[in-house]
Amino acid sequence: MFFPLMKTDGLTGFLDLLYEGPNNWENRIKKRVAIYIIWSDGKVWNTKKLTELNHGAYFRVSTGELDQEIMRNNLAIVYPTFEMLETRLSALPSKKIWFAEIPAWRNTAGFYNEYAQVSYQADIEPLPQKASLLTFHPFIQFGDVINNLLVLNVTKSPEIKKDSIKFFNSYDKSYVGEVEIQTNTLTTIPLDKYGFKPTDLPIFYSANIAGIPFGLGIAKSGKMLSLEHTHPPASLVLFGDRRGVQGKIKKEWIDRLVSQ
Amino acid sequence: MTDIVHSLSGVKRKLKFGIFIPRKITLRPKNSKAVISDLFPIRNDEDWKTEFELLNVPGLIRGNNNTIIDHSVTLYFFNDNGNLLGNKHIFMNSTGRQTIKLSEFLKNDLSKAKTFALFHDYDNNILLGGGSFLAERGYTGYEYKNSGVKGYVHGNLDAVALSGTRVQPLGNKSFIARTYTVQHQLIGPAKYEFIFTNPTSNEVVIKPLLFGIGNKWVVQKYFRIPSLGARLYFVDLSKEDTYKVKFKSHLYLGRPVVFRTCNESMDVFHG
Repeated sequence: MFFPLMKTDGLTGFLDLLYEGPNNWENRIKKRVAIYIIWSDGKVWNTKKLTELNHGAYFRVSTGELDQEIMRNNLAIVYPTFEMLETRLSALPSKKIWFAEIPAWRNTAGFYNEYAQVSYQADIEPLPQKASLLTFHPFIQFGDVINNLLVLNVTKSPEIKKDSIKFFNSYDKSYVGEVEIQTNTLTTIPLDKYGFKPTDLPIFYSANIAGIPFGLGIAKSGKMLSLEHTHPPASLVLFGDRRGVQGKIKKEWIDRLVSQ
Repeated sequence: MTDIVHSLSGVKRKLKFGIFIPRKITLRPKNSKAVISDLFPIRNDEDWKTEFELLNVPGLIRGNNNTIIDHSVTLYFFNDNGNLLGNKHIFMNSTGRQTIKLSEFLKNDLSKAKTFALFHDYDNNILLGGGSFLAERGYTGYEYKNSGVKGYVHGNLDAVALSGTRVQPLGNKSFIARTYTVQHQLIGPAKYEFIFTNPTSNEVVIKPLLFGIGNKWVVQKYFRIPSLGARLYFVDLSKEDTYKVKFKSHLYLGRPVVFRTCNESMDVFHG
């Protein structure tokens, strides 16, 4: 299990690690762990040991204290391990140390400035090398707010591939625009120039790169921040074959949007 | 001898998992035409406003949220003891997104509402295939001190189902108490508020434990939450204070929605 450290202009990214499992019955490890930070240069995953943590300990890493090289893709990932990692890896390690399922073992990732802090409970598993993303985005705010879409992608391979994410208006299926996104990167996309209205529900669609999309709202005064991620279409139903339902929902939308 | 120790530890592990592994965190609605909703906390006072981003979920599932038939939803409002105070029927405008300002409803009989569930008018679960149910687990926006910016959080628990006109709790309880550790270091100066809802059909008792001064877990005063009720537990931290917090209860998944306020700003996230 990996935990993201994200960077975006004008804010400091942070990741708060807490060595405490989420429940009292899964994975009750207590051994001292090494905390590595890992980043891609497009050819390999580079690693650097940040610290070691005893059970119960807390550690914060922020983008302000790291070399620019580490945050070159505006994303680094943090990995707890019992083992020493090589400084260069051809693929992300697969052994999960901080791992639980009910609920998932998470940490706190987000951003801050001199006035405010915002976060979400974060964990990330590497996404498939080729997969699509389709999500509905109800987070655009109006007034004295700057709205950004963040797209976070991590794959097992360090390769950095480029593709586009397309924006549509869900109601009339109109095409609004598209922007380049990359694998193993946090891409920040300013949304205000697209002219979405308070009654619009944008759809974001990428045919070849999956990712976790976030809405990041920043008060123009800087005094308030807002961050939440959208969910895949499977979240619209419960029980049964949710993956199957998700596949159908994506197909219906993609057929409508792409066939225009 | 080593074999015996290994064998005993294997039995212990299996026993532990047999007891703890929750097979049904969320109970399946009895009525196949039921629709599911989270139980969303409401904050409505001089410091807080609550809004909900209403989307045409049946339309999103169908692949077309632009329909000639009006889509409607019903909001059910509950007080902190889980009593149903009333409901409001809303027709969705011909738009992709409709922001519901909860404060417009929270008057008279609904003035003491602390949670709401939102049920879509939908009885075609059969079209989903494979035994799925339509669920509203969407996004509530909270605004603090008229900042003009909402903090969003999505549904945290699949709490209730509407079967006909009856609201059925879907949360499950276990025989043995479980602990949920909030995976967030509490750092001052800040006020942390944890809102719990009880999605089960029985009262639950929640025991907070704090780890801070003294470097040990200290049990705090417990509180009770009636079925479908809600309670707020808070920790006020001064500068330099740091705490960890966990909650012990018989809930399968006793995760609160967490609000962190500091000066004029706030952060909200689900546990």
